[in-house]
Amino acid sequence: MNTTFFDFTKENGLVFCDDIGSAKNKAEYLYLSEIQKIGVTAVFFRRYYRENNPNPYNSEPSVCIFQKDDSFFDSSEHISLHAKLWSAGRNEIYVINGKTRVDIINARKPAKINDNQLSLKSLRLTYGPATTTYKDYRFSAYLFGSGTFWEQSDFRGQLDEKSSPYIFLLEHLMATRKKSLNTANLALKATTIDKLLVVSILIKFLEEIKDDNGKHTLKTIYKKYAVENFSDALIKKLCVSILNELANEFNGRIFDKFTESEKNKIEKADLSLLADFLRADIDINSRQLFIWKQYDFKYLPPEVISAIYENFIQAEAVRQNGEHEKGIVYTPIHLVNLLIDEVMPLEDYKLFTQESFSILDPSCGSGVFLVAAYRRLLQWWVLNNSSTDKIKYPPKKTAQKILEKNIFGVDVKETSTLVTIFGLTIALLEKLAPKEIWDNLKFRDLSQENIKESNFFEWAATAKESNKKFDLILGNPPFNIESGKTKNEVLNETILTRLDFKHNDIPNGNFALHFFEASMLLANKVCLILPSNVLLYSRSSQKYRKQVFIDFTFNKIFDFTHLRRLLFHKAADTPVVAVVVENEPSINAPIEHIVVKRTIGSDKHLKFEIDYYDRHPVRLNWAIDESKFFIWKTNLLGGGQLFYLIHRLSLLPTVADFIRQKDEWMEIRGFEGGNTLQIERQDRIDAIDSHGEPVISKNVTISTSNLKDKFMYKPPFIVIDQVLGNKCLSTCFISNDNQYTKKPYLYYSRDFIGISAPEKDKKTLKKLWKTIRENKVEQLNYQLSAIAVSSSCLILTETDINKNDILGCPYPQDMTDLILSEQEQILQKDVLNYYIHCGKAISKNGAGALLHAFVGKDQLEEFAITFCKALNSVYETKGKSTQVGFICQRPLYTICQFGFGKINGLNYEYIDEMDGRETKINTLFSNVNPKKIDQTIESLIKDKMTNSGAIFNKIIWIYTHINGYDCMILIKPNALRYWLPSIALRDTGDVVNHLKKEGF
Amino acid sequence: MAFQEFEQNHIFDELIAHIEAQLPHFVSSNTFSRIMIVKKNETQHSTALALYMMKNQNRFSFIPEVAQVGTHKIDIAVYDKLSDEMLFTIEAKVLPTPLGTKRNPRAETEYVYSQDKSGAGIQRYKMGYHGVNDALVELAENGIVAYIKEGEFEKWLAKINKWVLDADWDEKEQLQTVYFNPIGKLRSVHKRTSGTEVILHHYWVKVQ
Repeated sequence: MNTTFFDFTKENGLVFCDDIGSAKNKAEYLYLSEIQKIGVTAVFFRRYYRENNPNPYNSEPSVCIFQKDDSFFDSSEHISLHAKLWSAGRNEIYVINGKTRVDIINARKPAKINDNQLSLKSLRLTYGPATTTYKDYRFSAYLFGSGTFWEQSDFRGQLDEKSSPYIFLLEHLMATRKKSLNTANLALKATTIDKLLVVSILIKFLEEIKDDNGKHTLKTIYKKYAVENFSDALIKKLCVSILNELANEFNGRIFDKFTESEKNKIEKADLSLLADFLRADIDINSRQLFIWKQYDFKYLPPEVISAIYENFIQAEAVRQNGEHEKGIVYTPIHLVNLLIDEVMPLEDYKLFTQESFSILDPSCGSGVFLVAAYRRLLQWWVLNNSSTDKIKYPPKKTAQKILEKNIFGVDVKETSTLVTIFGLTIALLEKLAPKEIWDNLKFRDLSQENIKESNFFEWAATAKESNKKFDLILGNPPFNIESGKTKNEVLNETILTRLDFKHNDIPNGNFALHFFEASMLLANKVCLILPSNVLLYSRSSQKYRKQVFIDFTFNKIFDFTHLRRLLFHKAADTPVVAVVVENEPSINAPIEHIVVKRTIGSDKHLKFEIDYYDRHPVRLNWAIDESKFFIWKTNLLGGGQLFYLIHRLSLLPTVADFIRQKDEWMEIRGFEGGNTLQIERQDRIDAIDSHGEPVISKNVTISTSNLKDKFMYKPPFIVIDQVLGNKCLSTCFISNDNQYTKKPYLYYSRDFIGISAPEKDKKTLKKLWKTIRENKVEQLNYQLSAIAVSSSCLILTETDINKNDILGCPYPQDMTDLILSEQEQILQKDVLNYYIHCGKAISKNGAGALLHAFVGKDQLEEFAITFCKALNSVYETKGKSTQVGFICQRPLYTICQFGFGKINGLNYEYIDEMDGRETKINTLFSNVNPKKIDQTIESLIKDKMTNSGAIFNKIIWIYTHINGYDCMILIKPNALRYWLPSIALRDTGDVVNHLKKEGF
Repeated sequence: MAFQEFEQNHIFDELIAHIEAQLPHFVSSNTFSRIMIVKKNETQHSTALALYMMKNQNRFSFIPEVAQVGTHKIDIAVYDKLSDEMLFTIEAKVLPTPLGTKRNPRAETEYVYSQDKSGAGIQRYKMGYHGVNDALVELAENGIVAYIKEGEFEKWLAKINKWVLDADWDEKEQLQTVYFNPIGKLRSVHKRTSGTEVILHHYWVKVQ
């Protein structure tokens, strides 16, 4: 059997199932123990390391390798295997290692329907004899290790959000729901249909759990009623009878959620549509063959089933009110997974040796967080009770006990608590054999103690009074009070008095922060999703921000502001953060601000890729300092030295200060809306073009309810648009002898800021205008200044800036203060050209794609020059300097060699080794002409890239001494975002710190 | 690491040289004159000084009002922008010490010490309240800038060194003159409560 696959090695992540002892951590051990059942030969893991620790703290199974016959590909066994792998959603690809052929298959898409058959042919990424296929660099360990596999141009299009097991199932469920609601003769209420759908999925799940003889849990009941399955029961109008049987069998009121009236209606209803869906021979939408065969329920994460219900709630709100339910958003599963791994990492299993770790979700919705948390508790139990030789799963009673003792949730909606209980039940059943389920498995009614239908604040007040404490509170609380309720109904003074929050002055009465404050009364650790603008960016929140950062320990803030348009699908366009907070006063530890960027993986709702440059430690004393409130925003715009630039500018007098000290100068927003006052036959500025010229409507009627001071409309004045301009702030100067209007006044609306001055100050006013619209490289562009302090631009909207952002721009007496140093110019350029687009689409034509584009030679050279200059500013001596040795571009990454030594001793060379891209069959290294790069360096790179954990870092440094030069070799992926000049400054800072530690 | 060519960096020395070179210009600048007309307290002096010190160089960021131990704040902290590291703190003083208010009178000896429990001037460095980086790790060398409104450098040197003795500190802790032209530069070494030593660079500028 072939045991060499690509450049995978034991050291860089490959583990054979017959050598489970070589697993590097519990995550690998657990996965291998479970996946062995489906005949995996080996697994290649993506490993996550912490600094100075050679053992990975976490691993993810990127690639499974199966040893099969050549005839296996696309056989029914293969389709069944694929269903398992795709449903589980853990792998990127898998390899079928045949006798004479290797097939590499996309594990992120379901089998396709082809001539009424399921087929995997279109999911095959490549195939061929082992000798060539295993040399294909597109499957290099480095790509999986660094999470950049899907970013390759060849495979970008192969990822598709709609192909995720969750979205795929959801879409079919939603279609069934819609059709059911539109079917006049069904005569069931939406709530009844929703419950029926959810129950049906649970039953489907039970039907799919089969023992070795193909018997499933429900066989006995079906036999009694002479039906094949639940679908058959629906057709034969035996739905209620089956549900009653299940209710008796399982207790716990799981199947007993319908009122008598509902049951009567269900009995009479024609449920053939639902039966069709469950039989799954026909896709409701396309009438094509569907699809249960594409799934394997036993491998489908139960959170998927839970998450579906939140969509029902939204769909119902849209159906009834034409808009999404306020405050309820679907929490994407990859976000849930990220946070569970953060607050309940697998490696912390020893926390659960006593089987006690209580978790509360204060607004559990459909229970995605609780289901994921419960599954993690079960994994912890397994790790605490298994040995290297034998894996042991919790017996059913233990699994039940773990659930009942540790998992708690509250939600104001009964249906949400119902679905949470369903999800938890499935998570419990998932690990049990059919026989175990059937043999007297009795559920406790979780709605009695664990999953409560209640207003959280009332519940929390009672919990606080009875001294309840949880180890962890986590969830995604609503940002708004639910539709139809007033604040007084949900959160009145009596409840607030009983709760007695640590901080009562919650900014703007923000609803989500009330959940946060209440949670801090009840838990040792809290992980909640909160609105990012109110927590980090709004200036009016500074006092509150300071209090909470001091009174609690904020370990991490995951900032999803760049993902505001897509994180919650269409249900919300809200920038959010996820906070990880310990209930202890801060001890001056920095807060890690992690700015999550848009990547192919996050855009497709697959996973978040967080790399080194996304992490920004924020000193606590800066975090709480009002004069440094923009620290979060400068991090959002790339971090690094940008803070220092914006801070310097913040010390200067502002445009507002300048106006204030001038006689008869005024600034104001233009006239308000309304129509109580109408002034006819006037001229009005509607827009400002890119040349700084006003676009004017002549002889129009000005309608307003608040005209404001008429002086403002009498030239001379400046008008500034509150939408970010193209290359500079959008502003125009209207002189008193202007050509734009012959009328004494020229009006403008509240969309614009006006600055007016007496005629005698016209020159001074014009000078101010020129400064505002300046866009020279070497001078401050006011766009940067406004963006960097704005709590709306690039947070709530793309381009809106408000009056304070504009008038807060610096306007010093000494204009040389606005001249930027060389490094400040680099920062300004990168923010305005690149980081400003971070929240935009990264698809082919999206503005955000710029950051992900393949870096070019010129850009690499600019990077290298910036690096050398910056490092030389510290270490250059009379005879020695840092120089670029070579820049070598390879298909997967670029290598930059810098050398410190005798001035002008290194001859720079650009080496293009991209030719591998043409043939696509090349090993990671064999395409390299060894003459091009010094052999010593080549072997160092090879050693680093293949035989250590370094491949799991996107950024690799090799420090060595060669031929009289101290060499710094930098290896990074080819995306432009890694090679911006501002990143060169960050890299230089890291090297300086490194050198300082070494005594230089 | 097998590096052989790099030599020890001189970032700190460059910082000290930069401060020494720029201070005389600062005092004679328009910026400073304006400050003297409209703004008179140490905080405003510090902002103006910080801004001035950030002109014409890429390396250092001067940040006013930076938190130190407990609720203490230093007038200016200097950061190396590249390595994002705090290198130096500067406390600003006006001599003679302004009288303060009836409610909060200020000690004449504030440059060196006060009876206040949170200390003053050099005393705060000795007590460890000042002279630490953001992680509260002690910085070996720190600075004091004094804006001298009246009197000669020699007179102030004598007064201050007397206050050092009045405070019952070791006479080795008295200030030593480095030079007195065009600004005053002095140096002192003090024992911190923690047992370590702190070097203080004193810069005196006449603002009469």
